[in-house]
Amino acid sequence: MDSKAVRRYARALFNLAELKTQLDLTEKDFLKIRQLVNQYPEISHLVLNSTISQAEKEDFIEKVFPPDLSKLVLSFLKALIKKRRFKELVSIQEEFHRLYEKKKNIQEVKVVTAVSMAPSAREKLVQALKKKLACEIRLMTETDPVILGGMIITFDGMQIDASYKTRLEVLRQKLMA
Amino acid sequence: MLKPEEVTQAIQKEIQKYETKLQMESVGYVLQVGDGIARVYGLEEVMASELVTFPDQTAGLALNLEPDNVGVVILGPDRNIKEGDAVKRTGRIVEIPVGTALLGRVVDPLGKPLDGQGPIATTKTRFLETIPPSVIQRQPVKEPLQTGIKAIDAMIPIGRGQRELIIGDRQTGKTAILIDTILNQKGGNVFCIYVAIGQKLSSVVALAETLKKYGAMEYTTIVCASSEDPAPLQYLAPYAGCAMGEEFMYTGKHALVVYDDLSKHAVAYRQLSLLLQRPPGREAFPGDVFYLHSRLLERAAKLREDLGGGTLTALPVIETQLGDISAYIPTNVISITDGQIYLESDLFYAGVRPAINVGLSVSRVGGNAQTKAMKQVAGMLRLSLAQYRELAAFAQLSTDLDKATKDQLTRGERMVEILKQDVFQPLAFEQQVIVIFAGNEGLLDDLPLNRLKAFETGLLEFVDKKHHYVLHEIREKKAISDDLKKKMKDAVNQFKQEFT
Amino acid sequence: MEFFQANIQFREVLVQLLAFLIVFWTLKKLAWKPILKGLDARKQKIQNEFEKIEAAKKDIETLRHDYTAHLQKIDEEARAKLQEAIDEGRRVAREIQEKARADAQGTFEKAKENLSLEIEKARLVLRREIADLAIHASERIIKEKMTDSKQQDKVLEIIEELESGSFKKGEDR
Repeated sequence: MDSKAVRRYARALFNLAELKTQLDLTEKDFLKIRQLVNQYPEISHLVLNSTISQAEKEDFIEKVFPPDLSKLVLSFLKALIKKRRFKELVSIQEEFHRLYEKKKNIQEVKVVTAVSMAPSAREKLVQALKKKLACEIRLMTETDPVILGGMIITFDGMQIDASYKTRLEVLRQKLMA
Repeated sequence: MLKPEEVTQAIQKEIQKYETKLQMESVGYVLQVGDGIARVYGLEEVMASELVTFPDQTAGLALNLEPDNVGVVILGPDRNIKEGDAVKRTGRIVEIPVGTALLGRVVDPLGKPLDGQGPIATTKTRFLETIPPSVIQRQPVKEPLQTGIKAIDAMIPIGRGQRELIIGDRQTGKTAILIDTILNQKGGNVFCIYVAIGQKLSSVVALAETLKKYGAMEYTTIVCASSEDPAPLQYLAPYAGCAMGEEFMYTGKHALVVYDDLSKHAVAYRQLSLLLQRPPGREAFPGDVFYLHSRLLERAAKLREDLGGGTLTALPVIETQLGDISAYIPTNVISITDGQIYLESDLFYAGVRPAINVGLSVSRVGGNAQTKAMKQVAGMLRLSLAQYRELAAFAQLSTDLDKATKDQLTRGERMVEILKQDVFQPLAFEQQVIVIFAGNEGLLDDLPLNRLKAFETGLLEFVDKKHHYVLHEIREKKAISDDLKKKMKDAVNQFKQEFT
Repeated sequence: MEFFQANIQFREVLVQLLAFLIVFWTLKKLAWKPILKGLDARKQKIQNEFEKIEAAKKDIETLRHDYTAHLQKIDEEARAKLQEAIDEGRRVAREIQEKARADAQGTFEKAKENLSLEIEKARLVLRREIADLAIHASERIIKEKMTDSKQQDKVLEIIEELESGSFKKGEDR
């Protein structure tokens, strides 16, 4: 993945969307596009095929995606195709999403627990995190019995590992030496 | 004695002490992995050369800090590392266990034992990369490191704290010199560390067996990063050996570390750098390949007395191609070390073994590291050998020679003959003095060349049995008085009579 | 008596006597002195020879004295040298003994060190195995004993810690 290009494209879209105050709309639509592309791999196959002409690809895009798609996103897709960067779509969407969340001061937090958390616990966690990180929290939960107990909270390149498994491992390392 | 209750109590205490505190750590995710390199996304605050861990407890070294990812070299097999694995910082740099518990062991560059003789029971560790002693902390080299090889101890003497490069083509006897030097430290106070970089595992095993056979493993450690080990481990191996040696040096003891060989070390580092996409320079080596070796070799020194007076002597080995000592890596290392010993294949095949080219070999510490006795007998040896060589070339052309020239030729031939030595047979310094003395005084001039070897062996045995006080005096006084000279002459003449 | 009265002519006797005196004086003048001188010289020479022999005898005596004295000195020197060599030999032997003793001591020390090293190693192996077992056992127990409610409690606990404590950055592994 060419990260520099990804960043540039995402930022370009972001700046445009911001200018047009269409951030929320763009975010929503872009996410929809990504899901569609993941769901129907034929889209990528067609667009990435070099024997099909640019005009045909653009035509195809317009037809295949829902008609209520924002103009901005559509133009962006066409531009991507023209610059032969379509295969970076997923990465660009992720980067855009990241920029969006930062702008909106939303932090995405992933929590892994051994058994699924009770809703009250979830709420409590969201509140605590909100206070600590001073921004909106979008919580994604996951259960993994491997961790044996406790939880692992991950966000923005940081991790708080309070799982039993890791603690046992740390204890074992300490005892080993 | 060993009491299991002690152990269980210690463990219990540890467990009770263990408190869990919530900690926030920096994590990253593996973007791609292959060829021993992992590209990690995240790890925002990782520092250069910091140790990081993968989920399967393999260690990695964060060498490339790029804007959007970190290039981590994997210190071990990369079989169990997948894309998406979490990578955690450790906040430490690489360190290995050091101390006397390592003597007699074979370890890898991270300190893991490879000889199956149980764990390394030591609590002391040292960092692989340290700053060498400063100018103030050093003092000039003044004690000899006896290699047991006549040609070296007489004409290219090595001192404790010196760096002497051993350079030559393949199969010229470089490792043999190293082994002889290590064997000769038996009964001395020098600890030896042999670092095997990129060699065949079978060679390292054979070497360990040889050392064990001659009783040298008691004071030797072998650090092994063979050719099957990943390049990062080969890259770290010399620094690991150096750290072990430094432990002895900073505690006032003497150590000898031997790097066999640095050419393969440079190649491993080149592999690493190219895979990390660092720009290649001359011969595709990265730009800092000089720094790679200079920071390693600068750590060999003799410390001041008030810091313990310990020494670390380094004997790096470089393999040249077709005797080309002006290639990139050889010239680099030559300019770093305090002298070099050239081994030539021509001399080797002509039967001169050790195949040392005395004219081109030099030791910049030289006479300061020689005992007075050796200086007395071998002072003019180098010069006279050089003269003999010139004369020999000239004498091949003309057949009619005057007596003086003939004598010089005879003397020269005999000196060359007694400087030959078999492998695994290092000589004690007093024995060397006797043999070279005999040659110098012309006492061998009338013996046929092909019997000189037998004469030498016989002479040493004879002097040991019947004139032991001569050896004793040389060993104790380390200088040759006129009286002793006479005694030595008498002894040699006596044996000569018996011999013929 | 008549023989003498018939044969001795006084004149003959006188002439004979005269002739004899002349011969005597001539001899005395000419030959006596040199002969006496010769005799004297011989006497002197013989005396000189005797004296020389005496002197030579004396010399021989002194030489012999010197000689014996010298021989004695050589004897003493030889004895002294022998003694020296013996002492030297003894000293060397003592030194060798010392060295052997020191070597033996060294070996003993090394053996002791080796022993304590082996014990350390054994202790380490034991400790590691016990630690391993302990951790494994804990894992099994946790897997069994952690009921759902306990899990939830733990989660709440962690959240509370999150709220209250300041989780420090960094690792102290």
